[in-house]
Amino acid sequence: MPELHTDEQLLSRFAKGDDSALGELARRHELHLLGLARGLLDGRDDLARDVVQETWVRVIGAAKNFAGNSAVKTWLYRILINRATDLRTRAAKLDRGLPGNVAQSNGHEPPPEAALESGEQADSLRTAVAALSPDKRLILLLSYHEGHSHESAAEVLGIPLGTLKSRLHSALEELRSRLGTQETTQ
Amino acid sequence: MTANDPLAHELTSLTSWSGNPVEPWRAALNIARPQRGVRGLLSARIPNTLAALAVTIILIGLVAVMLPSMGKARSSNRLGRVTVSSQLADASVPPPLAGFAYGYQPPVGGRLQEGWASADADVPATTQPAASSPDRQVIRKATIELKTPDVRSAFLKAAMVLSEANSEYMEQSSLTGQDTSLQASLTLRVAASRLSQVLTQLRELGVVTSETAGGEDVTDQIVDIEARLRNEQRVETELLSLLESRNDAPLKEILDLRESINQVREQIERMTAQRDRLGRLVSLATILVIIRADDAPVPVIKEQSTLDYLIEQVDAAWETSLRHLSDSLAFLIRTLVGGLLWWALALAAYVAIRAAFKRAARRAAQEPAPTL
Repeated sequence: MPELHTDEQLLSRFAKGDDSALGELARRHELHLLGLARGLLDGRDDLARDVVQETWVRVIGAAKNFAGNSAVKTWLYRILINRATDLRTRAAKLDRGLPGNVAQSNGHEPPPEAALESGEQADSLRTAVAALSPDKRLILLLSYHEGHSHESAAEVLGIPLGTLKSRLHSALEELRSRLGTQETTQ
Repeated sequence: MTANDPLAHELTSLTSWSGNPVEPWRAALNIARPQRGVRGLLSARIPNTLAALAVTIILIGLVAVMLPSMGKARSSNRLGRVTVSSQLADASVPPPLAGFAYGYQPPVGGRLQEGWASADADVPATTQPAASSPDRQVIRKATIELKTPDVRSAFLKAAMVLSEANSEYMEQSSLTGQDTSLQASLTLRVAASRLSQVLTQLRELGVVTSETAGGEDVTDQIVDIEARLRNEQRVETELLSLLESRNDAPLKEILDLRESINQVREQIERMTAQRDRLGRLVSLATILVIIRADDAPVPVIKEQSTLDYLIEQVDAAWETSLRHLSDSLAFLIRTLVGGLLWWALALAAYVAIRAAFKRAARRAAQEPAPTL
């Protein structure tokens, strides 16, 4: 069923004081934002929540002055990615990576069945992705993020579609290579 | 890699949220709500308001700095009120000149250094002038008309108010008519510093029926004459030195030079005479005294009741208020119309500042694309 209001209309309504419009905007995008944040932050749910919350705080503060130079969705993802990147950068400066252990600090444990089916496989994939350079990791996760086409990913990153595709290809090559190495090692 | 590719599926699952619905947007709203309430209001509204306030302050400063003529005009208005005219029905009304001082200082010498204002030392402080300009050169004139049963006596007494020590003199006098049509006329030249004092003495000679006083500011004329005079004197000196240095010049040239010197000297003498004349006019005020016979009994000056005093004060206050209101309105009009250019500039500045604020806010709201 098509949405009654566009994202831009909802943001405009919120800027005029209608908090429910922000709720509607969150209903549309929040889970996706949480998911991407989780991916960008090595599976850390708690950090993902914090980053998404920061994203909303920024949206609330700047909603009134949103100029519409890009789609609201693009704007949301840019804020999220920049916040997540900031967090990783801060952690890297402290020279200890993201705080806590990925496997231990998810905040929730995956269902036992899922863990049985894909636990090891997901861990090795996450490890391989985490080993990629930040740019490649970002392009890879954003391009395969649910609800994002390559076109919208290119728009979020502010690069031409062709550039995105070539970089994605390169990232996949490296990922496959790393996964192959991991399997060989195991 | 296709959608059915297991790696693609795994990658997608890495960025999917399988946790509990946590709704961080609500927490964000709770964090930001106080900001939206007070700080948000401040951040949203105050910059423009501050900008408007700053521009207004700048505007007032500009108007005050760039339109000093307004201040001058106000000063001139005060000086312009020197002329006083009043028709007095009877002597119970305070004479109009009683409280006026003209800010006059005689131009030269120590003879007339006593200012008019100081001559009015017995005048209540509340009626003293608000402003005085010590270097103004003003020619004072006053006319006073009196009625008295004994015109001859008043005529003689009027002539006696002159002080020879101050070089005062009677310029003209006449006594015409007989009995009830008897009329005396005197033109007195008195020291400007004593004008108020002399008028007070004249008022005592009869019932004042009319009294006017006026002043003509000749400061600019005197300054102009003196400047021209200095210039001519300089030219004279130059011509004289030229004459001395060209002793061996042909006779015709020497004669021409002497002719030029004569012309310059003539100019100097003429201007010196003008300056002296103006100086005399300034140093000596002119009073025209007209004394007429009065058969009617001199009105008895009644003791002023409290009610009359109250009414009089209210009248005066009303007049003063209206005058101040007029001044304020005039100032407002001058500020609005006279400063139109500055108003327009200030408005343009305000619009520009506001637009800059908006642009800055929009820029701040934009999120740059992640750096790769």
